[in-house]
Amino acid sequence: MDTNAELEDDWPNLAKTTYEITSKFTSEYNCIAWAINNEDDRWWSPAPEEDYYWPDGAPREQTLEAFIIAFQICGYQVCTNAEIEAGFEKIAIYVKEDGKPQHVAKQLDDGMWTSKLGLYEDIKHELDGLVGELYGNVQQFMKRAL
Amino acid sequence: MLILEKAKEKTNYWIKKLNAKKLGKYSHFPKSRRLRVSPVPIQENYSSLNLLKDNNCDIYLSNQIKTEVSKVSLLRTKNWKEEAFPWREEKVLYVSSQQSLLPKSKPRKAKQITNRPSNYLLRQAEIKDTFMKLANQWRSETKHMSLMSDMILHTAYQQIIGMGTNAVPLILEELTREPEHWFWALRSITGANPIKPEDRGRVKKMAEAWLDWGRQHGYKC
Repeated sequence: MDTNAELEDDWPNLAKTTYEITSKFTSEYNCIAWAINNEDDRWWSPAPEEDYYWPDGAPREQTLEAFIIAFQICGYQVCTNAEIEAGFEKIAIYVKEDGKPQHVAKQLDDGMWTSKLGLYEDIKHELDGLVGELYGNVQQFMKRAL
Repeated sequence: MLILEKAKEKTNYWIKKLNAKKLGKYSHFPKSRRLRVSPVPIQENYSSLNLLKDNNCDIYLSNQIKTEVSKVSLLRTKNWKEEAFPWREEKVLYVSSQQSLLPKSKPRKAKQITNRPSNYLLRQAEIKDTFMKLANQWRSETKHMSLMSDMILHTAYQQIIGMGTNAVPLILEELTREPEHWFWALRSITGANPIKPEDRGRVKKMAEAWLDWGRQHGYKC
């Protein structure tokens, strides 16, 4: 199975939308680090023990509230839509039905989004491309001044 | 009869030897004895004590004087010391044989010199096999995940933690190949946490810290 087929197997909506692979496979950083432009390749995670990076002051729990606080610490503020706003960069938080955030994507200048898919590659995609069983739906947008 | 002559000869030799040496351990052995020699057929794997008993004899002599005779004589003389039979002729059993009549020890099994692995190695191979299956299952089923809290709760990962210290060298071996997210498992099993606060989330440095820990604790990695 080639990479595209694997991705489309996990995220069937990718096959119905536009996407492209933009990096190599790596396990050195995750979607959160990628979305907030973390430059030193850290794996962000609110894991209960402090093995992984998570902003000081944000609760180490896998809830939307904890994610919002973590991103606010990094300069983001809550916003309501995915429209391109001049002078801002945006992120989208995917949350599953159980209320647990699963993924964060970052908006690109052209209105498309970029994501690091778990241990897979980075891709450029449409927001709907990753909606589905694994990541749930986009439930929160946040923006940060450039 | 040739055997009877040999037996008498051997008996005389034995008496002379005892009288001449007068060793401490034979000091209670009667000096003058009336002996009647009875040659018997030889049976393999038949102890000299049983020969004496079955033939109603008191002394056992054989051409293998350095083995059976000395042992049996000593055994018998211990009884004579306490219970002498001066009133009757002592019966001597003489056996001539090229083979020992003492019970033969069971032949030792030749050591296996084939390349068959030991139980320890087989067990290690089983552990490694189990670990690799679980590790591959974990990788395959968590590839899409971005959050450690989901990855570490995966059944296969938890089973690896359940393998305990058996899993530690295998995890460290995996870390030498690829800095994957084995840190939680290592911490859970060992109780250690060699990762510096400033390296949290830096997967390569986290892996290096654990490999250093492994070397310090005698693991080959």
